[in-house]
Amino acid sequence: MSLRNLIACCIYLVIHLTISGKLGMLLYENNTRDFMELPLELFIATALRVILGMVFLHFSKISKSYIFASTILALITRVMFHGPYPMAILACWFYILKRENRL
Amino acid sequence: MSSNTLWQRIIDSKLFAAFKDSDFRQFVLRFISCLIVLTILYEWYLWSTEQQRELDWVTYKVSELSHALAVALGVANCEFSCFMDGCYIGVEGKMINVLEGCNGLMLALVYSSYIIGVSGWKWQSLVQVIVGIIVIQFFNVFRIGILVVLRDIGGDVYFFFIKYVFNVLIYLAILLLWLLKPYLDKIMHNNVS
Repeated sequence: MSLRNLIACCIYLVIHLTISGKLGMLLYENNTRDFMELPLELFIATALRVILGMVFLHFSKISKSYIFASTILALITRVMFHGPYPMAILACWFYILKRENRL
Repeated sequence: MSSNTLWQRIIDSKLFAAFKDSDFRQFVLRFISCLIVLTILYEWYLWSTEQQRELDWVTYKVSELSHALAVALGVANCEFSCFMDGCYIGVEGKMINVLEGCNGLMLALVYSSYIIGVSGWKWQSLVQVIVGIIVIQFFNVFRIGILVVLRDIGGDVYFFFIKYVFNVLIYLAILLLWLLKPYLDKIMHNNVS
């Protein structure tokens, strides 16, 4: 894996975790563990994380249709299966770059 | 315009071009099918342990081993207690709560889905999935053990580690496993030949 990709991956994860951390802090301050009690904050944080994933894929010069497909797959992973969103984004990113020998 | 024509136009739009790529489509379908199968198995596993009014075995073992690691790293008076909703590890007043969500299995499911997504449902993939899950669990024990130590030491470093360092490291460890995949494939292929 090239250094550029490794750094991009780390930066993506750090920003994603910062957004998630802020949401977690809001839950803690409101003394709850239920995201649905903070719908606006949840919406903003989710939108930011989705946009961040798209920017990360775009930065890796992945075409728009693949960015769209990867985002859908990551959202399915998160919403339907409660899996980690960035892991699904990284899975698509890894698959696409590996296939094109750009990793 | 009929709904069929509208639907066709949406499907034909550039945004959906990735789904016309048969390799990528196969990857996505296998990825999702694996997620479905493993999630059903995992939910069934959680349901069956809940019926027995017990904490699930994986969370218990991860907590127990993390406690052993923290003790080995020199945390004095490190306590360990488990209830149905999770385990508590650490020194009195500075305990860490290990919940079912901390057992690393959801991360392992997505890791496995990538392996199946790329290679399909083969026995070689299954071996890699098992090896990967063991590596992820090993890392998880290491993470929780170190967090107990950091919590005992005190200060803001604990929050930095729990929020960034271990999360980034565990994701990078999975990327490393994915990077090693072609080599593992080669080794297993040679062994079979």
